[in-house]
Amino acid sequence: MTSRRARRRIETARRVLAHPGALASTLFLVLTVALAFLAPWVLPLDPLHQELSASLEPPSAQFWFGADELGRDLLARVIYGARTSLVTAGGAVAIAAAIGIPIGLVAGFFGGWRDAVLMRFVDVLLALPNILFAMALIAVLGRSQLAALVAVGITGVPSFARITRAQVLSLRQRDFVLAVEALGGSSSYTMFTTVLPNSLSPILVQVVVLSSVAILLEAALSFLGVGIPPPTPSWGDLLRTGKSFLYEAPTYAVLPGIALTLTILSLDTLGRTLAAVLEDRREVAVTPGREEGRT
Amino acid sequence: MSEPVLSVRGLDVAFTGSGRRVPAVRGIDFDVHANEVLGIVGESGSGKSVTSLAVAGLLPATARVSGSIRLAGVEVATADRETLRRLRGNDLGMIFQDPTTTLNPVLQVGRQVIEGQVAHGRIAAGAAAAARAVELLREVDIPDPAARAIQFPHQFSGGMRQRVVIAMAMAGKPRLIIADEPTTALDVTVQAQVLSVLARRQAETGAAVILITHDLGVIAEVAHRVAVMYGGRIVETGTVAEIFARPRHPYTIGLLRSLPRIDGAEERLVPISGQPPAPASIPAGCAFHPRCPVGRDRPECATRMPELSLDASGHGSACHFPGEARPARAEPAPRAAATAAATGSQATAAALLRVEGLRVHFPIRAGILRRQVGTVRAVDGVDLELRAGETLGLVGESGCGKTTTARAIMGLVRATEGRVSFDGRDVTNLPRNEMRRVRRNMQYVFQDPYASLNPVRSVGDIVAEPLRIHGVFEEMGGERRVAELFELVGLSRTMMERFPSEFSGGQRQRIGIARALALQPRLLILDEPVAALDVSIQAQVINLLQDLQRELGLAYLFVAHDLSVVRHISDRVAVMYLGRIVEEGPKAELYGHPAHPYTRSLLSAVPVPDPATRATRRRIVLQGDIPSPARPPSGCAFHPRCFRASEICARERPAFAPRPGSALRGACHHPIQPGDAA
Repeated sequence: MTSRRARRRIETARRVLAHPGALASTLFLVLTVALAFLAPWVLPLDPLHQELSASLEPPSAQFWFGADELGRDLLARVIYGARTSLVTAGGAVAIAAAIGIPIGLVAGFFGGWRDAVLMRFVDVLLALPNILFAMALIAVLGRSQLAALVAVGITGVPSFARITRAQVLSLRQRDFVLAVEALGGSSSYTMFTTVLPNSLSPILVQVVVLSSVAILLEAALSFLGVGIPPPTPSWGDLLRTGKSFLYEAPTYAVLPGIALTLTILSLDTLGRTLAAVLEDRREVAVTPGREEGRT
Repeated sequence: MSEPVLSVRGLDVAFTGSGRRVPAVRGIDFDVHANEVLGIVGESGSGKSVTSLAVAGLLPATARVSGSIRLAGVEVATADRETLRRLRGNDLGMIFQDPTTTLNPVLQVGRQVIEGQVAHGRIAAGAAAAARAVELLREVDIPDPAARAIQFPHQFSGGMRQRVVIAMAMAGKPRLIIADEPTTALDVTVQAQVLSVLARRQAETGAAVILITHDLGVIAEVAHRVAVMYGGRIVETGTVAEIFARPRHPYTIGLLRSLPRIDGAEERLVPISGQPPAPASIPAGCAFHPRCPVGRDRPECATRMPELSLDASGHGSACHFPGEARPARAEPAPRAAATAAATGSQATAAALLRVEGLRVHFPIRAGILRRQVGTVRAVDGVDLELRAGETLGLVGESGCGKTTTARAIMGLVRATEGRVSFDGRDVTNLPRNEMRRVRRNMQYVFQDPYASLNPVRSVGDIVAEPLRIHGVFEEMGGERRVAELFELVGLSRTMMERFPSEFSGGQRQRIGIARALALQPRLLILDEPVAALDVSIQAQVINLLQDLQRELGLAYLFVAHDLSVVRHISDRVAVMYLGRIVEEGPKAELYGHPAHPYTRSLLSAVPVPDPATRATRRRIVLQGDIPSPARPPSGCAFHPRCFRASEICARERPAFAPRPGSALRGACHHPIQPGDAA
């Protein structure tokens, strides 16, 4: 049983990776994640070590990406910045999913007043501009990585809630959900064992898409100077300080910018391919044995 | 004989879209002449629709076509776009299955009917075209055609839309009309209207018609010649009388024997074992040999593909051993005596399920304040009674409320009014956790086996689900019990780890039945359990249900629209019309001497798979369509379509009462007496 399920997952992964763009994106993301998390052990780089004589030095054999105004290695700062971005984004998506999915599930499954109350709450969240809301929250919580993570996470709640709710609504009247009800399954049993597992595909896609949004939002907050407090390196912060030295050291701002762009691009490509493959698999699963008809 | 309108030779169609070659049609020959209806019959995947699309040149780009298709002297297979366009405009009319999607929703019906003619410059747009459109609509019996011509498709009912499609197809007086399952989406009384219009217009215009269907009854009613397709080949062809009276190919014979009959034969159905092959995995040699009683073990059938050989009369089959297949029908055997005895004792037994005055009304809400502006009376006063071990058939056309009735009994929709009692206990609108206990004894089997199984769970898990929900998985034997259930419904226990998508429709329906039986219920509510299945598979499931009933003493509430199937499986039958039971009683009495005009017309509208009776059968073709349950007619809901209605029918609703001198109960002011002419 597990083996069959595992085989289906492997098959999905194989089909995603069959797209050259998705393959390249995955390789890039794996490399980024590996570098970001293994850096302290495998790379002889220190993002905090200052060598003031090397201030704003262009790329060289010693500093591949150059050095910043305090003579810190920019390559190290970009790599450790990835770590900050990824941790914040991962945590934010986890928070968004943990709050958004149950909201969508309950609202879609029960409908009625629960739906009205929960979705109005979601609408309120959605009505607030993300950045302003995050900044306000950080102002209350104080500037820290945790505050950035929570703030970005909460702005992601509406999209999870809406996607889950839409999925649940379309499943709610399907025969196999009704069948579980006819068998005597309780509401929570039906919700968690029947409706939720069938809603996972779009949710999974949403996880990927929202990761890129979260990385971008975190960078924006740091760029505005309200994100991760220094000296912890982060891409947004690199961009902010780098822009002051655009003439003296163009690589300072450009290289972190490229890292950010490539990460976002990879996540979006992966998300889009995953959505297409899952959609395809769903169609195949729903209509086998009906090869006839308008082929 | 004159030159055929359509001549197909060695047609071969394969699809290459999925990366490998999937054959859909594998070398077929046939002709269609003017003034002739050729019926092509086959199950899903047999290649019948692909054949018709090839003839029209409508196959997608992934199709590889070889062979010759000559339509009105033009070679279609190699024609360029312009030739094809002219051909479709002048010589070919198409009628598709679903009239809802065939018509353009934003174009007036009148303009739509004449659109093709205008586009081909046969008639000038304007007054002349409009007048011709009205005439065309009149020819297909659209009432008040001048007013209807300026309406839009959504203002038409399904049957009227399909007649509009026929009018469209006939507008250019094409020499060939292809009708692909033209009545499959329609109810039986509406199907009767559409078939009669199609047959009349065909006779009037002298067109050649290819009628594609899975329904042998429709073939017997309308076709002159028949081609039976299986696995992408024509396995038998001949005149309609020959095919039904003296079928030669084991597949044709099997098909006819697996069909429940409206005209009374009671013997157990003889299904064809196995299932039709998917085009991607057609067996070598004769495609039918793995399922064939004659050729199953013969090396010749497994290696060499038989050719279709015709005799002088044009009847022939593609079989290596045409003489050996057994005759079409066994003699009708009397139904098991046990049933008769059971029927006798039932009169005294207490009812297992009793439904009294059941009403289910759905509010219609509109506007931003969601104010209720009306009520859909889906079920509007239904009384039923079902005893242990008995099968009650609940029949009716779409929208009559039969599924809602079943779901309300099961507690899946709330009853607005009335009482449902199970085993003497009132179970109407019980709270969820109390209903749970009742559901151990009462289970539901859904219509669509493709939709009713959770796609992300293994089928073993699906069948075990009821046991786990009720916390009796270990108590009832765990995995062993699940394996037992699989074997009970004729599936191998080795399949338990697979997912629903790996099974065919018939197998999935068996899984659905196994799930329903897991808790050892006493009553199964079967909602159109065989409607989505191919004929040969349908017979397997019907036999399974009958065996299970005998072994386990189950009571069935069998909800269906197919009167033949209901007759075959039921002890008693209730006929529903617009939310009410109009007639109810023992099957033999109800089918033999129906007293309600609706029952009578419903029965007469069912196509009988016996062309011999075509000329002698009297058919009552009902006018009009089923009214909306949101606005039921006053008095007797059937009166606007009834051929016996009088003034009282519009005024007063007839009571549902026993009919003197008969075992039937019915609701009619003017019941048909046995001596009456309809």
